[in-house]
Amino acid sequence: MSDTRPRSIGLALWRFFSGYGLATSLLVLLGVLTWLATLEMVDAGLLATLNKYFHWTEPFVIPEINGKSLLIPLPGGYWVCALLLVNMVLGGLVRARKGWKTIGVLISHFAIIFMVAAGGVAQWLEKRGVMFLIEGEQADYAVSLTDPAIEVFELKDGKVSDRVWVAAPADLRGIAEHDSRLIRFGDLPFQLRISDWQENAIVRKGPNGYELSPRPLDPQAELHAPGCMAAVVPDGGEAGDPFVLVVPPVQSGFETIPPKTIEVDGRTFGVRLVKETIPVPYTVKLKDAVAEYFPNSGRPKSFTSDIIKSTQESAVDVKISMNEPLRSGGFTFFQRTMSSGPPAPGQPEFSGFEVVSNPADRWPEWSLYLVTAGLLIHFIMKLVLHLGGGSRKAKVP
Amino acid sequence: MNAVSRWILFALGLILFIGVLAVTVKDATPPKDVRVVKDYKAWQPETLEVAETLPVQDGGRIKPLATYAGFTMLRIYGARKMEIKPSEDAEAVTLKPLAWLMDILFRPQYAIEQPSFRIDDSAALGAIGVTVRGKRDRYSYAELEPGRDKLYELAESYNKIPKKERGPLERHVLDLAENFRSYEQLLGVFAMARNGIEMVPVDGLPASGGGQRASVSAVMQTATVIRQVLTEAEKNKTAIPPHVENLLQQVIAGANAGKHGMFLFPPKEPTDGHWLSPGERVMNVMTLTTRDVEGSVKDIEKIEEVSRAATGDEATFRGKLDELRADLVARAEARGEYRGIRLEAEYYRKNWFLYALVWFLLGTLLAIGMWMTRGSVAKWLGYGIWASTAAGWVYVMIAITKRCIIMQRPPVGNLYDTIIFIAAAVIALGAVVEFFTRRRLALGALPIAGVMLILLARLFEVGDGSDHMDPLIAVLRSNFWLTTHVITITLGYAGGLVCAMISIVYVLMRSLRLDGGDKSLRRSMTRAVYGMVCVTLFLSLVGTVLGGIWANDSWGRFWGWDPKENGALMIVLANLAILHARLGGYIKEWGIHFASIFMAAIVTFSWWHVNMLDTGLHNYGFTEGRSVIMLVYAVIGLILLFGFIAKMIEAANESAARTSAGVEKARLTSEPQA
Repeated sequence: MSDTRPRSIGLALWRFFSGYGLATSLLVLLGVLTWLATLEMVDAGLLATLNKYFHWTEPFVIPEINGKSLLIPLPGGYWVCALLLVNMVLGGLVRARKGWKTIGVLISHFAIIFMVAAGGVAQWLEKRGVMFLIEGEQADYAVSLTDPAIEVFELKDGKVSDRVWVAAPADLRGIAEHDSRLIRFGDLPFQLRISDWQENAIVRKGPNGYELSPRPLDPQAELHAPGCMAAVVPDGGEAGDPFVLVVPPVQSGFETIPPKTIEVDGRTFGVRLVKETIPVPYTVKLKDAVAEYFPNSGRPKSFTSDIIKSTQESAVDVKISMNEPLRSGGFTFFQRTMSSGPPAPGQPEFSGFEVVSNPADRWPEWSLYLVTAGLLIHFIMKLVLHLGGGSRKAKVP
Repeated sequence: MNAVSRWILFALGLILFIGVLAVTVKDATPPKDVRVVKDYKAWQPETLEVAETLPVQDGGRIKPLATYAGFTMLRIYGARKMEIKPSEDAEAVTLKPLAWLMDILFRPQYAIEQPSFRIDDSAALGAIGVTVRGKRDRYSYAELEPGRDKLYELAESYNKIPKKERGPLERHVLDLAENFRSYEQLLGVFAMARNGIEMVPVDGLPASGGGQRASVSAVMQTATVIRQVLTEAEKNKTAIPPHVENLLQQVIAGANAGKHGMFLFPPKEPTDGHWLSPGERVMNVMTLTTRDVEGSVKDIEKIEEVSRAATGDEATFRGKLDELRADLVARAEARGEYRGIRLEAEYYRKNWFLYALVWFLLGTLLAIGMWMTRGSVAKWLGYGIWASTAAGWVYVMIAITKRCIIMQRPPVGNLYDTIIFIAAAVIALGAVVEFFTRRRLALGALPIAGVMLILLARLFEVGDGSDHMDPLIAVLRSNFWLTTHVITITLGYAGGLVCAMISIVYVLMRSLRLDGGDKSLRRSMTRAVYGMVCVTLFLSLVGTVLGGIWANDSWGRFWGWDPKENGALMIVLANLAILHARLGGYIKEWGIHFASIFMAAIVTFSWWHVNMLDTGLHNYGFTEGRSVIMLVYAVIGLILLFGFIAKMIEAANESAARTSAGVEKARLTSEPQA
């Protein structure tokens, strides 16, 4: 018998991180986390559950079912996936035997790593918003469904200047209710101190002026209206009085509320909290929105939007429908929603597109081809060996 | 031990068989409560044959009247057979869906006395002030009618309660109100055509007496004149003449009653897909919103002839009905919308799944016999199982193929489709396993799986009460993705179930020592499960990624952590965990089988449970049947517990045997040699 004890800490770590034991444990853990998250999202909503179970800021998770804590801490899904990726690279590619017998397994592992990488790229770089257009309208931007941003722009003679300074969602992410954070806007002569952050809030008039009141979180995070208190901190000066910034509730029908006007160094600025604006490198004009239903039933048959995609150089007609999105210029337009008929005879209809920019958009598809090929090669080889009697001589599984 | 175990298994098998048989018989037998519907006369088969293929538009497609009747009866009555009798002493008459619907349409005097409404909780009746019999019973329209207004009033208020917050009473009242409304709409389809319009004497003219009635078609022909009268009254600001106002009120009421029940008439314009109901035909003419006045009047004339003939000789009625049918069929054919109607009528008439169930039940009986016997008897019974299971499988495949032809789409598009497809797939995959192992173990389990799945399909169909051949919603209308993603993922479920099926047989055989300690048999079964885990992994992984790519094209994201997606991922992870644990030596024979049985729970979660969570894009929005799912989990848990205990006992016995062998060896070596 050979001595299987590790000869050094390095070797032990190598064996641990590339071993089947870690792989099995992580796969089981990931399965359990997925199961618990699926049950929890029924009450907590999708986004809140995902942030709890699979966000990198959550090293541990304490699951809740039907509002009751299970009291058992589990590792956060993000870190389980990260460790699984390390294990797959070390065990499935580096340590694995290389040869024609293992070529299928190697391809499959590589494909899955590629797919996980696609997920990682999407998580960090993906932009997702919506564009609602009424027939005849056009736009060259989408509005994020969930991510808030603070926009600052200068007002000269009552007019808005072209340049807009933005505190992106990444600058605002992770501010807790009792935290405060200073945010600088490029070369502007002041910072904003953000405090009392609320994921979902509403403004009410109190005895001391307008106040921010928290609202319960909705399972559909896109319905949230984030809000916060902000105070101007001029460079080298004292912080001013705090004021309210809030995104108008979705049901209100307003995209923004009038910006807060501030004066710094004799210059006037407008400040507002909005759902992030995502610019698109072309203009989309909605020509026609057609919602078809199966006759004598409310069952939707098809939703199709005829649009004109135009840049300064060209304009092309494009049809977008369910399962047939428009992919162009790094953005993909999906048919998200549509009015079920004109609000009144002769009036135009509207169409809503989900607009996504994801550099890894097609990676899962390429990975699918690889993983299918890899698994097919491996399992067919196994079957051939089995039929040829090769595996029958092998050790009992 | 071996013989005792066999008898235990035999008893368990027999109990299962009898249980299944009882459910099947109950399923096929009409409710016992036979009500008297005075002077009821059954429809002649020839009449029903004429009505069977009458085309109607429902659920967004054109279907035979028989299909429409079948699912309407299932939804309202909760079964496809009803027994009534014309008098206390008379023989019971069995009403099947078409006859039941024909009564509602043409002989309402009988229909309203039939116990057509299934009430699962009498509290709903108490709430609307109707006299209650038992907790669960069936009631006629005539019995419920006194509570009609209260029912609709309650339903309106309960509708405002969010779906998740509704209690059982609210749900039952809402269900009853929906069924009651559907029934009333059906009663109203031909009511106006049958009764006509009562003519009120014109002011200043002598009344002719006797309550004269005019046909609706005749009134329709005067639509322009009536419009003129109305316009003039409006222009001169004078009152509408009472006889005209009365006539209009009757026409509007009648047209409204016949507006939603049944869409019988193909429109004149080939591009218009919206078939018209009798009520719409009348209303469109009276409001001058159709150009096809002549066609509308002719249609109403035809249904007037049929409706009035229903009160007389049945042969005459049949002739009129046949004329109407021939006209509608010709028009539907001209529009290319009659395709598949005859095939569909035949599909439901033949009842393919019932035949499949009979074959699988026979196979189950033979399997029990095979496990109780040895040698050539067992061998011949094995051939019998092959034959009966193959016959059942062929019936299932015929039904699936016919459904595909009728629906013009791949076989799986909704939950019902998955059940019958998985039934076929489990048997096919299990047969492949049997082909490789040739131990007659997977073979015996195949007809049992067939019985379970076909029964599940029938129970789901009855419980759901909706037509599963209706067209798919916009996002699912892609034959490419239905063929690739949906079929692959469904085959993945089937693969997971086959793994669990073989492992359950393994655990039972090894625990009860029915394998006689045959290690090669055990190895063979473990290899079979290992192979099926590989197949399941391949299908689930490829299916899941294909689903992600489809979701990326439809919803703009590859992965959305939707419950259905999560369920598929859990199956993939479970298979990967099994393979890695086995490669790492963490699980051996018992372990791989326990894990494989546990996978059945994961498949159940993914296939059924997530649909009940009422969240996500894949959810089917139903909440019934949770207790059945919990029962499935409990059974899986019990099998695992049984296996764990058996494994511990086996380990203890082996340890004891080793110890005693060691003691014996030590004794022999320590004893002085003679």
